[in-house]
Amino acid sequence: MCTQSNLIGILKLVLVVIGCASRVTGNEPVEVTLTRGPYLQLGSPDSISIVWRTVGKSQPAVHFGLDYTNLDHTVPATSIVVRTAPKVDESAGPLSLHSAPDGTYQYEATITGLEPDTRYYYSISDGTKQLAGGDANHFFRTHPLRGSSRSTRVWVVGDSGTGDARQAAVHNAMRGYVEKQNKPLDLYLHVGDMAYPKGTDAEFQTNFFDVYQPTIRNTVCWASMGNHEGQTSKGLLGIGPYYDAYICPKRAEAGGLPSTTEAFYSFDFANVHFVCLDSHDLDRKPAGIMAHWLRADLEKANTDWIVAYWHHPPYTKGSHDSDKEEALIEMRELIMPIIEAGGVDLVLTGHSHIYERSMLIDGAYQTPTIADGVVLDDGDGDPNGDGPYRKSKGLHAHQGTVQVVTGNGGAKVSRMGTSPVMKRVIVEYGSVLLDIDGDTLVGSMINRAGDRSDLFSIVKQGTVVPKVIASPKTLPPYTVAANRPKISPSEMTPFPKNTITVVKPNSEWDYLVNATPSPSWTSVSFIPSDESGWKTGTTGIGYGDSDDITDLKDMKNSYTAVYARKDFELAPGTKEKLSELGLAIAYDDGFIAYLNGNEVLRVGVKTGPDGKIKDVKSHEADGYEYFALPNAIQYLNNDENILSVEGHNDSLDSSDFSLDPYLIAVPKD
Amino acid sequence: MIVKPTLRHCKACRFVYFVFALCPIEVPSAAFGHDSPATVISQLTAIMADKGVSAELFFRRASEFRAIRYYHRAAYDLTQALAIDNNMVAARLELARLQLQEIGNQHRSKSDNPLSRDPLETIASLTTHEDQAVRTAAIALRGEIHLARQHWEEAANDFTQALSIESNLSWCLWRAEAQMQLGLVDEAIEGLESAHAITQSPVVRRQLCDIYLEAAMKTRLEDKTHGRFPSEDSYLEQASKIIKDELFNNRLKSSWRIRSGKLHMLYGESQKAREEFSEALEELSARLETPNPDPALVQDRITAQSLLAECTQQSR
Ligand SMILES: [Fe+2]
Repeated sequence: MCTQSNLIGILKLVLVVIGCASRVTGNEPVEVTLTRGPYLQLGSPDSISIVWRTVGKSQPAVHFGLDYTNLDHTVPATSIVVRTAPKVDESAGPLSLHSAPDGTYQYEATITGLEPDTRYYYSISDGTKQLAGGDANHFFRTHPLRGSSRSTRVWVVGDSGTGDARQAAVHNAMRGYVEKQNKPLDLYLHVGDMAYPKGTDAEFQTNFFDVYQPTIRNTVCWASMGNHEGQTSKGLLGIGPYYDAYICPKRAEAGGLPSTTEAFYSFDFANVHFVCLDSHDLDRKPAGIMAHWLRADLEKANTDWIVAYWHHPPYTKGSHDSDKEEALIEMRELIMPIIEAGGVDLVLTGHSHIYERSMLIDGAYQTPTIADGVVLDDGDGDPNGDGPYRKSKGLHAHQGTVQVVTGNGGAKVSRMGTSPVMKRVIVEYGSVLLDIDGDTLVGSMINRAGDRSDLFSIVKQGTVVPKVIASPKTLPPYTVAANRPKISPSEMTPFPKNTITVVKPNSEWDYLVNATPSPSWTSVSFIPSDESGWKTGTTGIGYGDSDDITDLKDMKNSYTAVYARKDFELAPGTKEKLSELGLAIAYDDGFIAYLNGNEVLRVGVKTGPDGKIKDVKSHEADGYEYFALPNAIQYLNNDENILSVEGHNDSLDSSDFSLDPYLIAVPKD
Repeated sequence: MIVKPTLRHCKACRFVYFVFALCPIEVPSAAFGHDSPATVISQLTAIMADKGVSAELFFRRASEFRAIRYYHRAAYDLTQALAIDNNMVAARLELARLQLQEIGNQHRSKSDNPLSRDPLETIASLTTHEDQAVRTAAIALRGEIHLARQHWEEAANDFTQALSIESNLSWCLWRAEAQMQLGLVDEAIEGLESAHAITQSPVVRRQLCDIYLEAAMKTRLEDKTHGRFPSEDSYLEQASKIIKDELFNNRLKSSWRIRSGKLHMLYGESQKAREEFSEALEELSARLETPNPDPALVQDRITAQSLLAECTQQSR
């Protein structure tokens, strides 16, 4: 409730804030607003950059020190690079940003002469007015000295830039996990696609900076170029919103060799050498500059570990196919031989919206990818399972590489098959944490519920002679279509003509049985977690009648309700082009359907779910029946949507149950 | 503590056309962002059937065809895009780029296919385009086409012209390659030395070292007196500096041992040369202990073996 005195209080506060953040230039007061950051870039053992933006010209200043109550070092404004939005300042010349909102100023302060492996606190100011920092939350830690052996934690995320609840959940899950273990991040690697759909400056703001601010103010994000950023940023010239946002080393400022471009680069952190490539818009041929540089860089690298990362995965059958697409094939056929001859241990990629993690492999360059002759260890690499992958101490050619595709950071996950070199294929939102400590590297996939979905390890000790496994144990082929019961549309409920399928029949849904879901289970922001009993399965879900793909053997005499939810994406503008949304469903006995948390249809269920479900009318599934959802279009979102259906059996001892929905739409005209 | 500003390289966005010439295109629309190329192609095809064709749709579908390596279909769509909009710079540059890829392709496409047409004709109109960025891109691309056809002089001239407007490491390296073919040793060295001074690029340093060695060799062959020219000494000295430095700094040294061996051969020190080639071969054999080696290392091994044999023969 807003009383009059409250209102006056708020007005006063607003005036005070505006007053403080305004300065008088000539006769006009200019309001200065912090619009991006502060965030960290380009760390090294003795230097770091702090970047932020304001709208309105400020007098930039950075203060830093070992204690946030005493930031006793000051970076003079004359030592901070100021770049401006296009046309803000004609005299800015080459210091103009490629794109930014009108009136934007970007400040890039690079501090040198710092102590290695030391935590400093910082603040940023406009003159004497502090804009951010000066508290326990704004700090950076310099890199340890090159070669030193200190445990290192790296967060790896890909294809995250949706700006929606899934991206936020993945980020929050990682933060929760890290906090629980009380082991902070040292580095953040982004394997591309951080600002959907086109990598514009505005998309960077909402889908990257706004989401990750609590992380990037303390941890440098070392980025690699995704194809979506590639629509507005160009690697050869280093221009575009991507290159505005990041300061990447092109002169070997943090180790490695000068690449002369921010599109690909390398750096060291303690005993790990990191190599970032641009798989999107640069020449991937062996005669190209990137391949020549990579060769030289790996020849020089002399750490205990080498980790390489880029966007397009050499091995995937997620939302992309590495046997069919040019960038993926070339990274495998042309770049992987250099990577493995140079002694790289781990390759991190994204692009394919899935989590896939390989066995220990070497020399898998041919197209199509096969497992024969390329697997050095077909175990699961899990220290609690088959044991870690083993390699000789130090860097050696062709002792095996682990491939991780982590394109599951926010954009809709999906799967089309199984890459033969993979040990884990997980269609789940999440990201990867790497822990490197001395001779041991541990990788964990943390899903969006905060659970660890995969664990693998590489240990480098003594001398290991690599041996190709004759008939490696591979994952079973992915068979979506196998045993799929043929269900046809029912003749009782005519389907409209010229429809488009929004959620396909027989697709993967999250479902919950024998439990009461959280009240918010139908909403977009809800995260179905393993802990609370959610599973995934292909529809239809049920028992009896042998018409279900996901068989609920324990349902009879045990429970009567099944809760199922499915996420789907809609491109912006699609909603406006639809005239009708409809549910096609084979069901037994009744159900309630929800779209983004709103009930849109109820069939055969008289009361509930509030209180108790009562009066479920018996109904035998007989093909897909069509139900128009007259008021549902208004509930559709751009990007992420959730269709939820709760199915109810009329009695505990019923002979069968079925829930098999899909969603279709009728376009206008 | 010292605080230093970092100057960053910025360009105006009008270079967008320029960039199209140099990058493989991939311009799916927002609506198709998350799908595989095959899915996007079918979506675009459906839109074309439904709403009619446009240059933009053909261009977008071409980029998807290219992504799945259907180069013929990509070229066909680009031709269709140009038939609708003859001034579509991006489509023209991309078509020329695909045609350039076909040069030297053993299985040349049939003559009625747009892929097998002359890329020089495709971009001819762009080399005099009113926009300097487009013009520069087209001239550099023409240089690449000449290079692929081993028309060294035309290639060198085109890269020089493009470099006079925009600095680019690839053009610099390609120009040096063409200049060496033309016997313009000093010009090649000068270009690379100045690029190296600015960038410290290890890629430039490698090519520079190779050119010093090649230049020393050429000078010797041309010198009838069999004495050493001062210029030869200076080439060898420069190469020696780089090689020593790299051998000191690198974990993997085989490619530099081979260069060092060549240097010793030029100095007439065949015993030292043999030692270098042998050590290079030892390191290479460890890195080549795999059924699927890096082709560049296999090539290095062949080079080291043949130079070792040559040295051994000489010393007999
Ligand atoms: Fe991607």
